[in-house]
Amino acid sequence: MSAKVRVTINGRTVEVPAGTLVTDAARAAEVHIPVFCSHAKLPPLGACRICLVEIGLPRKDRDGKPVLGADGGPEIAWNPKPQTGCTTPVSEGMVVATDSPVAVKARKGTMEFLLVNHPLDCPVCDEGGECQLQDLAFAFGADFSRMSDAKRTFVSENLGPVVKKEANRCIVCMRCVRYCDEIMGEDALTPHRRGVRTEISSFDRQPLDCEQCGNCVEVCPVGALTALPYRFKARPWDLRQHITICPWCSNGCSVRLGVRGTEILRARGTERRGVNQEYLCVRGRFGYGFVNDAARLTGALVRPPGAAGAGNALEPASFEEAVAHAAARLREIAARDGADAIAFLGGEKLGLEEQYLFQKLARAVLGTNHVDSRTRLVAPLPGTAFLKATGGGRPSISLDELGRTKEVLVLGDDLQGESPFLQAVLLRGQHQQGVHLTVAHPRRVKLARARFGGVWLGLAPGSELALLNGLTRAALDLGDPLPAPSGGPPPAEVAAGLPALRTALAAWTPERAAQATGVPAAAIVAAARRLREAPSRAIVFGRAYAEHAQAAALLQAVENLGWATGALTAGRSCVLYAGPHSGTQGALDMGLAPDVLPGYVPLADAAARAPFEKQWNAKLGAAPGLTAPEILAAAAAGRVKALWIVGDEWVRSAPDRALVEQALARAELVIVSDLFLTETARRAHVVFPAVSFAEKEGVLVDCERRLQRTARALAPRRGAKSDGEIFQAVARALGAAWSYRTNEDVFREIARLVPGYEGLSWATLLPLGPQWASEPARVAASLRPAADERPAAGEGLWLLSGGVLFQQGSLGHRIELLTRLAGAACARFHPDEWKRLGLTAGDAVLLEGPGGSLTLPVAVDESVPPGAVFVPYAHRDVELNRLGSPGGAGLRVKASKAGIAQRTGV
Amino acid sequence: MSGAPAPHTAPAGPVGPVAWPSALQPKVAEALSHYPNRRSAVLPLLWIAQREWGWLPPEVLRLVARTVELPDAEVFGVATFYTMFNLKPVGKYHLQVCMTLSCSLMGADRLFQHLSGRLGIGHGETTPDGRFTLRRVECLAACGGGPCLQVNEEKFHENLDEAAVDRLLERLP
Ligand code: SF4
Ligand code: SF4
Ligand code: SF4
Ligand code: FES
Repeated sequence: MSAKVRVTINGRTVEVPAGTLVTDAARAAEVHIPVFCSHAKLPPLGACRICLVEIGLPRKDRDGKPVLGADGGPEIAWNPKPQTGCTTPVSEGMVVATDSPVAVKARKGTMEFLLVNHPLDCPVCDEGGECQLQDLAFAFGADFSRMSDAKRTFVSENLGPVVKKEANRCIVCMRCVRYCDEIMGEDALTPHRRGVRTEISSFDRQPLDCEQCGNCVEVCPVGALTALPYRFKARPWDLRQHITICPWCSNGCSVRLGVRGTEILRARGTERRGVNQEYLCVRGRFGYGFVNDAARLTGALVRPPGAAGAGNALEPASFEEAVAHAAARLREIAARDGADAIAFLGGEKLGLEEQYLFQKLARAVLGTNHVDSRTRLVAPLPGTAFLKATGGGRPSISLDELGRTKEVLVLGDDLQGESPFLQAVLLRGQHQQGVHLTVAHPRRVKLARARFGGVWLGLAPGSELALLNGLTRAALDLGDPLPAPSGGPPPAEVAAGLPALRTALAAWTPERAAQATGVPAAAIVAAARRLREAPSRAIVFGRAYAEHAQAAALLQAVENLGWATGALTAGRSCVLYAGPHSGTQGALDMGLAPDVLPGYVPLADAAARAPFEKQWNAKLGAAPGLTAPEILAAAAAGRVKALWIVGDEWVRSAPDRALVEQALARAELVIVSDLFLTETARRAHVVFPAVSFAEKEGVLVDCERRLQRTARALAPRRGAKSDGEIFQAVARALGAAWSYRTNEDVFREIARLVPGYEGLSWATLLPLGPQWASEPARVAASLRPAADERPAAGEGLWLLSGGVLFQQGSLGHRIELLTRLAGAACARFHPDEWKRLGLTAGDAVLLEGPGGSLTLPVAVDESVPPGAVFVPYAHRDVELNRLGSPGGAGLRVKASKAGIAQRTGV
Repeated sequence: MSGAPAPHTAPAGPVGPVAWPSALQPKVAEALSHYPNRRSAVLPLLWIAQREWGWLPPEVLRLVARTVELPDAEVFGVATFYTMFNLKPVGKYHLQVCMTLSCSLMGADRLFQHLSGRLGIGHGETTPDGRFTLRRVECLAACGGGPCLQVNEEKFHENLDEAAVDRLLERLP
């Protein structure tokens, strides 16, 4: 803890940590010092001079003792010149004046200069009404101008589809340039020329080739940068602002929706709020259009009974009819074939309360344990697998702490596509806090670029397990698992597993790992040493491992590595699973897995099950149900006859297209709740119209296990119901006595019942909720050899896939800006592979997998290793699962030139 | 409200990726060797490039950026910060007339007007035949010999008047 000092600002004395900047101390003293260039996430610069204040220090005599004045107080030596508050740290006894004649004159002078060339655009400027310059001109500006010369002018530019530049309004504070550099790692903006002619623009005024996040617009304190999608759409005072949580990934950014009438007109970050504050990625900032999409479902649909086929289409039905029909059919199937013929899938995009109700409906009302949110799993995985790999519920590192962690290992995911905010946290940490990055990925993804100073472990596709084993062995060669920060020894299970793990890993010498992965042995050893010996360390992984054919072994290997390097210790977890969706963590917490109840309570444990049976007034089956891949197979084989799929485009997300088509065709009853008539919904027998994230309130749990409140920004689209309402209606129709009035009622039940969530209430979650943690751990640790004996499947090129920034799931296909930015989906090849296949620009390639084929346009990409092909995941024009399900260590495909490119897919 | 952005007309120059001609590579390596990190060599490399190509087209700026491992935009910013880097092609003779105090007092403005009238071009413009580019510049540090004019990178001409520049222009090959 740094020492505290006392400062007096405009007569108000506050105590702040030494080194605090005058502007921040003023905030603590509730004195307003205007700023433009200074920004909470950027180091002090002192470019704009608007924060000039008068500063004095206690006068000292020769012995360093304060000289006392006539009134007995210390005599103040005022600095003869005003100083910038945003660059000056406070010191003991400092006195600051923002209202003295010197300070007032300085501020007025700065304002006059800032306005010399500023145009009178306020009436037509999107920033008008929330512009800091406008506000300050109102507060401190002169009421006349002494300037008679013509103002210098620049031409306005569209820098791509997002950023609009009106340089006449620019006050050259450099926030945009620095933010783009230090936090986005894009460096897409630069000042052109100098002095009064300084103009912020892009390289050669070309459209910005960048992440299109719009954060430059967000941090611009004036209207020099505005967002094209919002241009001339609204005046800010006409908007109702609602702060909720972004639905696009697991990072849990706060997003402020600006709503007029029933339409969302913009999304922004919020200064000093949420995990992200002003930050949003392109999806969070511009991906709200689907809420107001005209194609939204506005009523239920029911397929009349009878043989499927022509004349038997989905027909509009009232909500009540659909509920009655769904309940009747479910009851009938349960009575005839048993509850085991019913399965519940999806839920990673729901709020926590709805997730809880979804599995309660399955387990308590219908009596089936076939519940799984992890619809993309390729192989079965216990419901506790992710929590176990991330420390079993021990207090987790926060994103904020991650940005200050000295050594961070990123495994398998391209964070730019999967977890944009996490990437920004790490880039900022790298730039400002000495974070060192090690990125293990077959492709040289953005975080692995040389200019971020990290180390890229470019492993051969399919050798993930070998790399983890090699790293773990190298880390264990340096010593036993580390004690907790508080000194506690590793848990007994870890100590118990150590000898066997050491024996199993004896074979994984650095040389063998190098041979298997293509990563030099020295690099493996060095990475393990850095992780183990750095003052702080963390490991991040995500969907790439979750959806891997060897997921179970990989997660165990991640856990082994965690304990071996000290990322996991008895008191703390610095391993993060950043899953694919905003509700991924919540779904796991709420027991949307076939073998655990909410709170990771094992179904098999009768004593732990009892409180649930009592609360739910039902007898729960002790036998675990089927996991998503098993449900898929069982439904295709006709053993599972009824499926309820919630908010999930299963047709595209299940690992095998042919199988999922077969499953949906064979099932007697498919119930889908979603926003749109998705491909999956088209194959359903009952379709419920669900509401979007903006139309409901509840709780989401982000990747650091932080509980955050979501808010309702809009009334539900007419005819649509929240998933909670749908579940409750069907539960009641099935005879259950559910009577939740709101999601808050549901949350109360969760807080009463679910281990780890005890004592929480909605009220405790604002403004920033806690990260749930549990001591002792919810799930016991283990050190165990991680092996997967299945052979590497097939021949041909390794298929590499992954999320891309501009497309994330089927909702993204409905956002015009995102699909435009994503461009055509291409199969990307290394130049060597490109040559080998004899490709030329404009060609198409035929990819053949075990389950089918795809034809795609091609592109050269040096970041793809030879021997592999990269195809973006979740791109509108790619239905990757048509290639079939990965087996062994991954999916291999045959690639051949297929003539001229033609769009395929949907 | 101004509408579409100003059209960007790319003047003749290298298009598509360019590389350092092999003859220049020792120079480039030498420039890089002077500094502990590559980025510090950005100005020397811009000079080497400008001497080679006469000006700095976008592709050449990208080449410099690649060489010093800086983002393209940053190198663009540097090149535009310094007025002596040419971001448009210049004529065979780049006439730079000093307009700072001493030269100004000694008639630099008259001299400039004369050149402008004779060549039919204004500040920053190039004659259609590509022979001359005319530019006002700040102090050339030849105050004792004002008004003065610099041709291309090295040649200074001092104590000029209209007749003297006429003679100068005629002498240029
Ligand atoms: S949109 Fe984002 S990445 Fe692009 S220039 Fe602005 S801050 Fe940089
Ligand atoms: S464009 Fe905005 S953020 Fe960027 S320097 Fe100008 S005023 Fe500052
Ligand atoms: S990083 Fe994730 S949570 Fe944040 S704005 Fe982007 S998609 Fe939303
Ligand atoms: S805010 Fe202090 S100088 Fe800009």
